Amino acid sequence: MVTRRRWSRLVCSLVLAVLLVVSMSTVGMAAEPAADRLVPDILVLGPSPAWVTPQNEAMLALVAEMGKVGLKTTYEALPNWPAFVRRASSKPWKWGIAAGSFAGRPARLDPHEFLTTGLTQAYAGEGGTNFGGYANPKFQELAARQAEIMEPKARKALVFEAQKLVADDLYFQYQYNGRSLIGYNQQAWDNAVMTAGGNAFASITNMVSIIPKGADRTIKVGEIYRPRPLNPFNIPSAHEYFNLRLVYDTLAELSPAGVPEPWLARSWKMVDDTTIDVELREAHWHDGKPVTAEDVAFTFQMYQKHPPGYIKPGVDPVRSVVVTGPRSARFKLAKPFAPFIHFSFSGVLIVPRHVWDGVVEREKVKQPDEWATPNLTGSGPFKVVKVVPGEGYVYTANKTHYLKPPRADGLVYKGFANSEARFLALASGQIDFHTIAFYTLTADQAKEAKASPALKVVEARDIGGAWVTFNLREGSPFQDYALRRAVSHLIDRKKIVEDFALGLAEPGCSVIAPANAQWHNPAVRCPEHDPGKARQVLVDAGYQWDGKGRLYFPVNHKPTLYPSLKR
Amino acid sequence: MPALRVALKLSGSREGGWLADVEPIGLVGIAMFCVLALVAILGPSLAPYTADEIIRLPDGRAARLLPPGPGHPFGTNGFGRDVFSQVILGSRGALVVGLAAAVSVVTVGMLMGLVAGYCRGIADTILMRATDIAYALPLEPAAIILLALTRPTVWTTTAAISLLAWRDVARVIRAQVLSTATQPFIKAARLAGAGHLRIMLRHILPNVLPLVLVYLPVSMGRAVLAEAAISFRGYGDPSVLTWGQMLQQAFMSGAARQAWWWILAPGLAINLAVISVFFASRSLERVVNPHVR
Amino acid sequence: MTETVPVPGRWRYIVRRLLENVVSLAIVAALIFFAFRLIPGDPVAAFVDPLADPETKRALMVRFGLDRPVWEQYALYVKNVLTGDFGISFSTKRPVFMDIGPPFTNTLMLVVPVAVISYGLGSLLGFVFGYVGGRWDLYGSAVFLVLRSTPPFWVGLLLMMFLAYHLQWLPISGMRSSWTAEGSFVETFFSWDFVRHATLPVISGAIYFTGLPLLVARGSIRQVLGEDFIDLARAKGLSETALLFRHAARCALLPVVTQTSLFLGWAMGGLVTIEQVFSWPGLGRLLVAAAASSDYPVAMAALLLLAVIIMSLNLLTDVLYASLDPRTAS
Repeated sequence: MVTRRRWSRLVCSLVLAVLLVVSMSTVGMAAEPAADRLVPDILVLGPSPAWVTPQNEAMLALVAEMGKVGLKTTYEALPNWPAFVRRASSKPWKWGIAAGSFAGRPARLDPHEFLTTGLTQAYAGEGGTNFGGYANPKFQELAARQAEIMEPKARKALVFEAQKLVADDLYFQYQYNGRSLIGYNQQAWDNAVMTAGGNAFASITNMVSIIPKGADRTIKVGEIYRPRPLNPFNIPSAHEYFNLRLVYDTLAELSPAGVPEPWLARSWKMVDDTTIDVELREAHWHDGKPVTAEDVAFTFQMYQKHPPGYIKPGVDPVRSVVVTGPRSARFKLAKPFAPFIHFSFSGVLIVPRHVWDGVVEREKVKQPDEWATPNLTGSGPFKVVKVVPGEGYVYTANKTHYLKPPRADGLVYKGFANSEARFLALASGQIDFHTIAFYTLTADQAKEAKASPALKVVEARDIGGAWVTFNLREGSPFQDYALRRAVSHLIDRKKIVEDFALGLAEPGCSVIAPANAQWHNPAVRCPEHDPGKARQVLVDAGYQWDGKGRLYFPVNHKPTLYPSLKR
Repeated sequence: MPALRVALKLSGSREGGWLADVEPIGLVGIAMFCVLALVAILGPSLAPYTADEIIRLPDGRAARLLPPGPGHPFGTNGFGRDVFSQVILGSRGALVVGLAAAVSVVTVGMLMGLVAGYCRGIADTILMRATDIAYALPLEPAAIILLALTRPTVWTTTAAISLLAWRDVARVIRAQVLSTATQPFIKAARLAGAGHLRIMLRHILPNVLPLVLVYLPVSMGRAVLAEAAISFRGYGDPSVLTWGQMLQQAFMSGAARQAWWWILAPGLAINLAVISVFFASRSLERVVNPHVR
Repeated sequence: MTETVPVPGRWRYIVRRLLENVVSLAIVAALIFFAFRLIPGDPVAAFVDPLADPETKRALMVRFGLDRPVWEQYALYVKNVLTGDFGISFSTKRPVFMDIGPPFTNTLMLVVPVAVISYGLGSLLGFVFGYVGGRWDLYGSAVFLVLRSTPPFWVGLLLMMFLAYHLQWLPISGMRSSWTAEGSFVETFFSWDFVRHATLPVISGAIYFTGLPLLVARGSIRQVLGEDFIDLARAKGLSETALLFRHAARCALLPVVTQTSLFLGWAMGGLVTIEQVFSWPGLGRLLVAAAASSDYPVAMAALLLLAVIIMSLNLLTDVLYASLDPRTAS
């Protein structure tokens, strides 16, 4: 017994001594890491408080947390998207973390845009939106392949895999996805339809479905926007697109759930992966002339020559449109493209040939978008009465629309300079709807609106949101996965959602947001908020701290760029 | 008040009884400014909370939009932060931008005015055309555009304001130099063989310095207002809390209707800060130029 | 003021000032151009889809000539401006003047009442304070300083909060309640509706801008009152009111009037924030929005327009002065 205890004591003290020596030597090493291993100061790019308040707060909190693990940072706040792109997407790419946001919109219900624009090589150049230069070849292949697989189930598997890969590589992660509050006047309108994908009430479906309850049969829409002149060849933002869609029909329209359904097209048939036959309905332009397959073919040709950003994804895949009858046409694609119907049929506004053919010569402009006072004849449920740049648009209902004559008599769209002005207009009955989910009511406005019997507040989940990316280019410390992981553990999504977004958001992670239930991969996880783990990750990877708590790279640092490739 | 004493000496007032020359307004202004400076210097130890600390209710929720009351004399803002502390901490931004801009505006303006007024001829033409150009660009929008094109920091804000605001000082100083340069004692100095530089520095400068000192607080007040406008439009340095930025947040939040304290407090702070320097400038005016009644 | 200069001298002065202004304007134009062109990066990011492919962006760069060397762009800009072509807006693709015109009018309809009120009220108060002197003079200058210290946008916020939100006496924002049935210029700007909308922004601006004419008028009346002809008039037994308003004020008004030319520049500046608060569709808001969204042609043309206006008013003042006070011309 005695000897046994003595032995155990000896063993214990030996182990202790060894531990002591080892730990002391590591402490000794940590106190004096070589200066060239110091993790350089990190430039963090993000929004200014005036641009995206919650994300600005989130980034300031993150930067403070990073300081606590020994990373020295500079936060550079950018006032708007162009300034952000200018800074984050030009040589020499000196930043470490960039935090920006993508707006959700119906076209992005198809996962293609989000999987390619922010993440693929084609967008990694200057001015591109793959800001950090993500170039995992495995992902590149997945992103390209998913677009070519027409069978939805097989495509879904690839989309799921691609999402998982980005998240596992810790290149791009959402901090939060918006949860917008949209208000409308329920005393004036019945039967409002909310559409998925971020447009909320800004859909033609809603505008033709709502039923006036009172004597005022004009829909009044208000948005935070300085109305620009309308021209189907100049579509700088979602606002112009929504307004033009009132006037111009598309071949298909997304259902409230986000599935393309026939609209101007009576039906379409996939002949093979690159051939689609389309049959048109018997429709008329506002001036009485019939809508023909010629108009459709002309529209695609014209837009291919002069594509606005909103239309381009819809016309790029098309190789030719052949007129096969007065109201039938055959689309040929260059190669199989899964989002084609979504982007093209429910995206491209069909314009009348008799108005736009030869417009450049007739109006003596260089491009069709320069026609300052365009003839806005369309075939849609609303006709333009007046465009007042800076203030808004007036429409009258096209009661003889072939498919969905509006229940309302007209529509007025007003621009407001700020959220407060718009809310007060809503509260006082000057407007009935505000539309696009991105421009949510603030938490305080929503509280007030809920108390008013006239107003109804509904929630719209955004498929876009606010994200962070790491710079993976040469020279960036974030070429190392461990450092990305450590910083990711510092993102406190609960705090962001509750304290900074004031509840108007949900925690985000995957590049395909949970609100896009059809394509979101629920298995994707981002590192949970845990500063202790952040430290542990760094310790495990061999990072060290000096006496002042500054962080140093491991000895013989070999950064792991893509952990998924290593495995 | 070393500046005041210098001004006194230069203007030849009685050393002892200078207080008698200062208007009550001026004294009020000087006192207010001293308080402001103290608040700015002691800021962090005076403020009960940090600028970004979120105050919690007992149940853990953020104490958003609490009206003024015990513990929060100016209430809390839309994030549950203490407005009183933010107003105190915001004084630094105002003071730093104000002082730095004022010093550079006055220095540049004085040099421009001095050279233009004394040298006349081509130098005058060039410098006065430069002031014309600076006058042609309205201060706030031009500064906002400069900041939108570069990057908003405290220093770029200061630079943008200074770049556009020196014009007023330059014009006034030039006029003063012009009238001084024609006076007999300048001619006498020249006849006595004094060089241009010497005349400028020894004879003319002392005569315009009092005016410069009057313009220092005036320029500071203008700079504080300009900074507030720039921050209110969202183009201020986002990493430095300022009163203008607080107003911008309040305006954006949609809480401005109920939360009057969130609007009133920072605005009053701007107002009082600018009043203090303007009032102080009045006292200087009287001290340096006792003939103006 | 009694002597007149021989006409050729005055004309020579005017021509010289005109030439100087043209040179200054050319420099201003160049400054504006280079300020906008020398920023590194991607000017087209703002008006294509945020996620547009690089190819689309490149096409736009080529279309607007932004891919060419800066000097070449400058040469083209000079040539275009000289022929009155300010290009097309990057975002609306319309000729720039079409985008600037209405906001400019709207701002003018704000600046003019602000000018009338602040200069009318300011000079009246200034005359009174300056004339009465003593304690009232002291209060007068205190009032001036307080008015000058109040950020106009803050006053706007407070007025909006109390008069528009709580008491609901006046509309909250915008320029008119209905533009949908918009009529002629006169119907738009000379209606009760417009007055109601303009009231709060005008008051916010006027409060701030009253300070300056007040001070100038006060100083100028004090100077005039010290001159001989006033004593003479007084000796003649003229009533004090008549003295102040008929004789002294008339002479003292000149400096106030000449001040007005500088006012426009300041007003445009101060109104940028007021326009923001009240959602006024004016030039200041357009200018800032255009700069923020990299719509260079619009921002540049708007700045240049302001510069031209301010400079011509300055020139006008100088010429006016020269014809009234011959000493300046020599």
